[in-house]
Amino acid sequence: MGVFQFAFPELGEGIHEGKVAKWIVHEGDFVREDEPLAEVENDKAVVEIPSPVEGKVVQLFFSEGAVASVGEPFVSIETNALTSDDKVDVPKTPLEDAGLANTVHEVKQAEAVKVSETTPNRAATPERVLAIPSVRRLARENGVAIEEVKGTGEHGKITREDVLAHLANQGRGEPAISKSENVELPAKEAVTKPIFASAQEEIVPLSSIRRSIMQAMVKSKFSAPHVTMMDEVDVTELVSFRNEMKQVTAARGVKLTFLPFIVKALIAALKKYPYLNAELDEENEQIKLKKEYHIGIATDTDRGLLVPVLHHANHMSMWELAEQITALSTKARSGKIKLEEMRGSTASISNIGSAKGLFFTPILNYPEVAILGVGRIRETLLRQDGEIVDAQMMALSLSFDHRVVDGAMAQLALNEIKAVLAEPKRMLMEV
Amino acid sequence: MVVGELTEEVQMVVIGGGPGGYVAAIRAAQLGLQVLLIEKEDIGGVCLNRGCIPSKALITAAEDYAKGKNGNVPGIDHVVTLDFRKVQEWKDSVVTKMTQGVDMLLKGNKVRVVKGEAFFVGQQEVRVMTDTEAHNYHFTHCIIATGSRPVELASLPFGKRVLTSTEVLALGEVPKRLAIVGGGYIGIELGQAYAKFGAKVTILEGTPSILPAFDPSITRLIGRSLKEWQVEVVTGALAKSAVESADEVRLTYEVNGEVHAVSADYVLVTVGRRPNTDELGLDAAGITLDGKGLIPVDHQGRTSVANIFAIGDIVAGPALAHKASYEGKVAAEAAAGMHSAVDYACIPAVVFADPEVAAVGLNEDEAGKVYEKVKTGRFAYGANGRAVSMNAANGFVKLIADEESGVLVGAQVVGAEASNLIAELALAIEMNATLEDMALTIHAHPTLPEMVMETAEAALGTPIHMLKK
Repeated sequence: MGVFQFAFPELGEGIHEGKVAKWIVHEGDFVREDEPLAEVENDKAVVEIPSPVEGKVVQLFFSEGAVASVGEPFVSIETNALTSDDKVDVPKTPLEDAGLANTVHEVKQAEAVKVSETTPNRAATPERVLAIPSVRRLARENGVAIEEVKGTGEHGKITREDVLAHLANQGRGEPAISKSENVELPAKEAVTKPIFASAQEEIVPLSSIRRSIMQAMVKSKFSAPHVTMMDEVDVTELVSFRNEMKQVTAARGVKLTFLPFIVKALIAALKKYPYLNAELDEENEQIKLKKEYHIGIATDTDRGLLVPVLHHANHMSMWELAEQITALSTKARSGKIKLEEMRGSTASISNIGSAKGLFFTPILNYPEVAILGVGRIRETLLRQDGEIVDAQMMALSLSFDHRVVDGAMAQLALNEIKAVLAEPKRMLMEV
Repeated sequence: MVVGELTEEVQMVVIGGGPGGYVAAIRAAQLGLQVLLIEKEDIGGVCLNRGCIPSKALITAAEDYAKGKNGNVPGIDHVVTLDFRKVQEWKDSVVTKMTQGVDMLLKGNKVRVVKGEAFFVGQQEVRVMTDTEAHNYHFTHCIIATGSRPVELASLPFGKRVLTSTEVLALGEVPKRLAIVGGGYIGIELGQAYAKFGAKVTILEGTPSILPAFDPSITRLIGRSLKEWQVEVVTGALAKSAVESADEVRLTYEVNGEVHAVSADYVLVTVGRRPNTDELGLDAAGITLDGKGLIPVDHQGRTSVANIFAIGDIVAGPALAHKASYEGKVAAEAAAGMHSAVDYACIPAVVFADPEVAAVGLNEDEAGKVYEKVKTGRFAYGANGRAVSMNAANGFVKLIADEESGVLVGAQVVGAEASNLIAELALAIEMNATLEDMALTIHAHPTLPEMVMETAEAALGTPIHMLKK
């Protein structure tokens, strides 16, 4: 019987760890090749990890909620299994590998004294890579298999810098370096249960999505000085147009919200003011103006904020926009969204209106230059040409990166958005 | 008395208060876990109470007595008397001092200690039995650190005069004749100590050599020293039976098919230790033992049940206190969510014989199987100023390195203070030090560790205090 040690696989470019959200198999289960073993949550999504082999699951190395790093033993599977032998085969320790002395076991009765007390002795594993204990710990704490690090020291010795460089190459953030002066509390992501609990406070470890939101927000807020323009637009016509269209769309099984209209209006403005659909390349001192329009839609989910992307939204009809928005947000909420579906946006929309919010200051989806915040539509009285009329007003908040765009241009872009939303007929011109 | 069963909730249960368990408990507490330590006998385990510490106290006393009686330095004559009971009292006071220290550390770290025997009743629950009551604890994490006990031979069951090392350490008087079955490190250490106190000692070893795990060049030196103390060593000997009578025990054994017998006051049987894994109710926890009675664990000490860890003598590897402590810290850290792992290059091993023996890493043969070419250096105590001025010129230091890189992969020391000298060599191996690094490190003069520097230079071909062959 062979036991296959399945190491935690790479989930995608730049993704080196994931939280075990749910085990689909249990120890002792039989699993076929490509059948899912577990649901794993990473920065962006929940993915299923398929079994690379067929066999009986011997051991699950993580409990639900624990964080697994690439290369760590994940599941051991007894291949050509289906024997009734339930023996658990656990990875050998280095000592066992080296065939060293053990605790002595009972001496067979008939044999009398043959066994001498095993004298304790040396332990070393053949072909151990050169690295000192503190460097080995640094690697472990960052989920790096020390054997995979390229050593630059004498005779291939792996230095602290080598481990840090390896991490940097993997595109990971700040490495967790434990202080040697005193014992550190467990690394934040690794704690599966709150350790200190008292009546006054409950400690909840950060989920990987929460951590990723935290990092993205800090990066954006501290890298791009952004300004928010706030304005209102009379969408009375749009509201009645949408109400008319509702039946048509319902007949086609599509839910029509205001979002497709807002996407259209935003793209119209971005086309007219291309600096808002851009990216600042600080290093080379240039601005990249994007010729495609991939619109991120900030979506609230149980696990936190996700931003699925409408790729090539400029080529989509209103139907397609409506369908795509529904499909993506459903996927995001159920955790089935793929990484590719959350990458590559050139500008974003954040809708607080659905939660009855009005004006706010959206944070840029860095490195985008603009994000349009949408507030609720409220009925109000408006003075128009000397008359008081009923009006439906929509709140808009446009944040922009002031390094790329100045206030006047931003307001002009916002005016363009307003113009399109105020007069839905104009959308015909924007198709 | 009828006592109802109570179940209490705890974050971490450590079973066993030896050098593995108490260290694991303290580390877990340092990391913020609320820890309960269950010990059935004495805190400190075999090591502090019936092993390492008391045996070293006795060995030191024996050495003092022998040096006094025989005169370590010519010109100083002593009249030496021995009150063995007082020696034993002092030994006991050493043990008490150390165990009280551990008690204080546990208390200071807010580790709760419960006396009793633990049995698993599930994957998250143990029952602790004391003489009067049973109490259940429901835990999040558990570390099993129950250690090992001496193997009993069917042919030589323990009795009044057939003893384990525990009783031999606690004898009220020096026996006139002591027979020892097993020439491993415990047999050699205690045999020499009692020989120095004046006992006539016979050691029977089943294999062709005493200390079979060590190189012949080392065992030869020990063999010579044993002869000096009139210790009779019989190798290739199979003990057959022991018959106890009122004032002695007769031990029969066979060598090459011939039957011999020796009479002694006591027979010490020390042929190994077996893991204490048979009375824990591990079945209830869903943990299966391997064929040797050991608990299979992963690189963090985790058993097949994810929240239960096992460390020390009950898992693979040498049964050594310092290995158990290391594993205890790893397991506690893993339970607290850290990415710790059992990841050492070497474990030093020490025999407190006369002269002392210590080894770390690979020996020459083992290194030859791993590395293409091996470089060695050897330096004699006789060429070291401090060794000679201590009247301890007997012994040598040997270093083994990978020739290509010069990185140290193993070391052996025989001679005075070998137990202390080995520490530098273990650190050198973990730090991937080369022979050059060691040769270029200034060692204080005149000290025994100078020999480490000299041996490295010998391996490099440029020893100062030694003529090249």
